[in-house]
Amino acid sequence: MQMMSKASFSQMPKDKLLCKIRQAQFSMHDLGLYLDTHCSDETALKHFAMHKAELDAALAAYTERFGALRRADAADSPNGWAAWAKTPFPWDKED
Amino acid sequence: MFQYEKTLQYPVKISRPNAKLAKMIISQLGGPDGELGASMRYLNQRYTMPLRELQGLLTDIGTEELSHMEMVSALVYQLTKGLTPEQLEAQGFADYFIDHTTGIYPVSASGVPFSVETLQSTGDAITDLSEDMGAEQKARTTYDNILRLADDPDVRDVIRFLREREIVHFQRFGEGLRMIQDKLSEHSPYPNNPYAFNTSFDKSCFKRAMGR
Repeated sequence: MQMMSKASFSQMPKDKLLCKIRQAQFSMHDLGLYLDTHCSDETALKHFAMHKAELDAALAAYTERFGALRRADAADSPNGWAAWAKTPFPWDKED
Repeated sequence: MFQYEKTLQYPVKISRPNAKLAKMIISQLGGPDGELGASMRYLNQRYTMPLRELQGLLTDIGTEELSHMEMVSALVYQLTKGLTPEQLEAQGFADYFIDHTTGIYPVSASGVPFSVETLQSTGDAITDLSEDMGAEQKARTTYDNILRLADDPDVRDVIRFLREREIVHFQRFGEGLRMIQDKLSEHSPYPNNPYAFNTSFDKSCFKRAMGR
């Protein structure tokens, strides 16, 4: 799997970056369900760590440019708390 | 503790409102085999589950079901958004509209409000995990039936994702059930009788059987 760096995420259009975040979250979640009952599967653990690194980089780039997706990151956004509180919720398709 | 992520697990973007379809899909929010029931079932069953790995599995799948609840609600919300009262009535939404306008309220396709009587938490690991496997297949059947009647590609794409997750969860719960049974046959003085005691309740028997 080709790893993407934070630099490449900082150029990416918003919807594509969000898609990368969802893909990494989903991969980690699905691997996590498997790892719950297969705690020592080295291959699964390696893939989990890879997706985690990609998610961290993508989330940092997203938060910086568009606002936080998690409340804990809300203060990290240059646009302040409003970038967390006033961005649309994900059921509103405008975003 | 739970924390919120401000994104759907899989995106929902409906371009054509359709209240008739919303009325079918809402069954996977508040119906007998819907996502609300699924998450309540797993999150409540966790406490007495005998193995920590299985407590983890119920936590993680129960949490994913909360995200599915949010996706089904997003479908219903977008499918009914911007319609006039006349359009809602013409599309068969009048009875829901009278009580809830277009607010999201968990009911089945036939309008029966959500009931916890559709789920169980028995405090017996084998019974609970078997129920969970059945629940995933029942939800899969409901999604199959929605796919038979829904012709909007935006809706079908989301429903296909949700349907696939039911199959994955069925596999994971199946492995969880086998995990308990394998541990019992490896260590227990009753290797061929997984019903010799309740692994969730008769803790001293379980610990002894596991050699602890």
